[in-house]
Amino acid sequence: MKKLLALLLMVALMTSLFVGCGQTETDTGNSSGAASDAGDTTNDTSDSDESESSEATNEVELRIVTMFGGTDPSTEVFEQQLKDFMDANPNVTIINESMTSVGDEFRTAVKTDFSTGNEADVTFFYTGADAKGIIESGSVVPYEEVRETYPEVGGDISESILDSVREFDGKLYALPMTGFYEGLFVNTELFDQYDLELPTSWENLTTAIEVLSENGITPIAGPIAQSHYLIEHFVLAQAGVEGHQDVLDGDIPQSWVDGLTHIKELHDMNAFSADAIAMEIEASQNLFRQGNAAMIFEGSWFIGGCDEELQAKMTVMPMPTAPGGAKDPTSIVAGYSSGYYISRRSYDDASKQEVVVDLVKHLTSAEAIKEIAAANGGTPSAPVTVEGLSQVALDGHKMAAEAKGLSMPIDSRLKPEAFNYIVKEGVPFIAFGERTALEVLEEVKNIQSR
Amino acid sequence: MKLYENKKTITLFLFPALLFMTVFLFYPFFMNIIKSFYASDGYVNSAFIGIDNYRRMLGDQTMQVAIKNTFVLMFYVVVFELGVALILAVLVNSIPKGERFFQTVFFFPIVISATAIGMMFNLFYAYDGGLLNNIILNFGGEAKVWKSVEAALEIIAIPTIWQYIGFYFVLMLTAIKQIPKSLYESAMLDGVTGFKKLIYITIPLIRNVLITCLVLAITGTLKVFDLVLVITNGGPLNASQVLGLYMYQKTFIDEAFGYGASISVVIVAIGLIVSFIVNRIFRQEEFTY
Repeated sequence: MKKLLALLLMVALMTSLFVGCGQTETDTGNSSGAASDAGDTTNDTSDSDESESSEATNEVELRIVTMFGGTDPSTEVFEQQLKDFMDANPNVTIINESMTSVGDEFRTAVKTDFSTGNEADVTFFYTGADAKGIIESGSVVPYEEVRETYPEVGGDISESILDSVREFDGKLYALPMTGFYEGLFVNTELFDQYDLELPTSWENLTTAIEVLSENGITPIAGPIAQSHYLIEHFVLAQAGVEGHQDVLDGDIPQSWVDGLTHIKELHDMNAFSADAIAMEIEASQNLFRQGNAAMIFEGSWFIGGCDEELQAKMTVMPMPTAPGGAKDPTSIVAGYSSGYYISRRSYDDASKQEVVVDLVKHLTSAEAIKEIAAANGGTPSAPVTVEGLSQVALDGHKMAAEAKGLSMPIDSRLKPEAFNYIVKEGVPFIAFGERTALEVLEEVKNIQSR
Repeated sequence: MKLYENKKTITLFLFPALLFMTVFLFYPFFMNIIKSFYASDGYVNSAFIGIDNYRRMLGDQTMQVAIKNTFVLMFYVVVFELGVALILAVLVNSIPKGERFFQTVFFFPIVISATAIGMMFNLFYAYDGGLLNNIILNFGGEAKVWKSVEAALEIIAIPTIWQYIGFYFVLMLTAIKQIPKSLYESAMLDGVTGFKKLIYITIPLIRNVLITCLVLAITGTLKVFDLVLVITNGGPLNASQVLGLYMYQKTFIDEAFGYGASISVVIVAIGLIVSFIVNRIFRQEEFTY
């Protein structure tokens, strides 16, 4: 008797170990099987998008991961879009695992999910270098394949923009929503207060830095600890669009060395705040937003998080050309670098395929693109006019439209380890004079070619 | 024969835990050692490169800084965390009541997530509007940059130490309580009181627990990463870079999984060597009271 009890106890303990490891897919599979029997009699789903068959009335649960979460300016708009879809399709539940893309966490989280087979059904992620591994592993579906069955997917997006996000194999894996531009954002009120000319030239920039720092205003909100945008702009200022696109497979370009050295020069002029060395991107954004810094190198997404009062006294302009630099005064860092991916696993699942494609259609419609563009100030991928934009957002669009050269950021061309070396082991050490730009770039070239 | 003495039953009961540990601990640990001989990006690209990762580590400046910082952190932890825990344990042992209260209060920080503690200390250390600077400004001083190159390691040492004092405090208090009162009474008759009592009676008799705490604290330091990540992310200029954090950055942020794996092998090796040395120097003794 005692032995039997012991055996039973052991079996119970062992099964309890594996309870948590169950897949939720099997659960939805079971419940959708049960629901389909009742589905035919309860066909009161709204007719707005859908067509279809009894399959649409099965209980479907989808997971979606995007950058429109947390502190991102598009969060509210995106959540409303999901809600609208769920209202129109009561049988669909969407689990939203979005998080902001500021910093490294989002990139890490998505890549970890893909590599462990835990990817969401729909993912809004970067294109280019970040997506290479995901595409090569076959975890996402090319839209050429999707369009064979559903030709209207992404139909609202301009073809030329779709072409710009084709991957290394010529296929389209991501549907872009908004493009971005990066530039030098300026608090015009502070410039007026000290009678300064806007930093359209390097001389104006350095004059402004001198005057502002004498008067206790932080000239540039520059996070030396997370200097991604500083790197992009200072290299572009010296190297121009063509030089900016160097992938360090030849000699180290002198323009890059000079560009990074300029960061040190400005740092020595007290262009950055006293705690810039330990500052992160969000802290520097805060510094600017509170009116304590006069300039910041940021992107189109930055506008959405600034309150209206600040937006009224902000403008954005291209990075001034560095002395002896090759940059055209209008060139900027810009492009389309993210889009909606559909996971292979989800697409191949007959019970989910249609719903997933419908969701993506809904999220990439002209209306949806317009809403997201209005929220985050980016350039829309569909030919829509975004209304109600503040002056600074209009300035940004104008700057992007008039730019003679657009260059995608360096971190879309270099390996993560290589670019992160410049961020963590490069700029802070260069700014403090502990390493030279040449030393740093040689090591970056080493890492990139490894 | 009694149920728990039957060898078969014992094996049966131990088997689930052993299986669990094999799948989630031994197997990944073993695979990690193997992976350290590869260059991998964590996805499809994985190439065998022999001991290249370890060779790279020898020339890696950041690795050297991380090792040095980790040992300095170990020193701070041993001196301050164990030292303060011991003092607190001795003090709490000698108060007539309120012992339960102090035990709960001191143990409390351990249940808070390290990330939350990191964020809280960020609010203390912030240059603009941080707690410490606001207090200083209130008294007419000038705001200090707390997360500076000189002070970064100490800055992250403070919350690291603060969080787990309670844990060692409880361990030591329990050990002190085991010492029979009769020993203290006879010591008092011989005129041994106060500080001498601590040095000659209390500490020697809780020696085994002290050694255990020492080993735990040292190996725990090797794993510190979340607090540092949140507060300084290893900066500024690698001043607060530690092994655990460096391994995390290399693996998950830089996506150099093979190199990260080799760093973690080094962490394990250091942990084993240091524990071995500590156990050798302070040999455990059997006590009979």
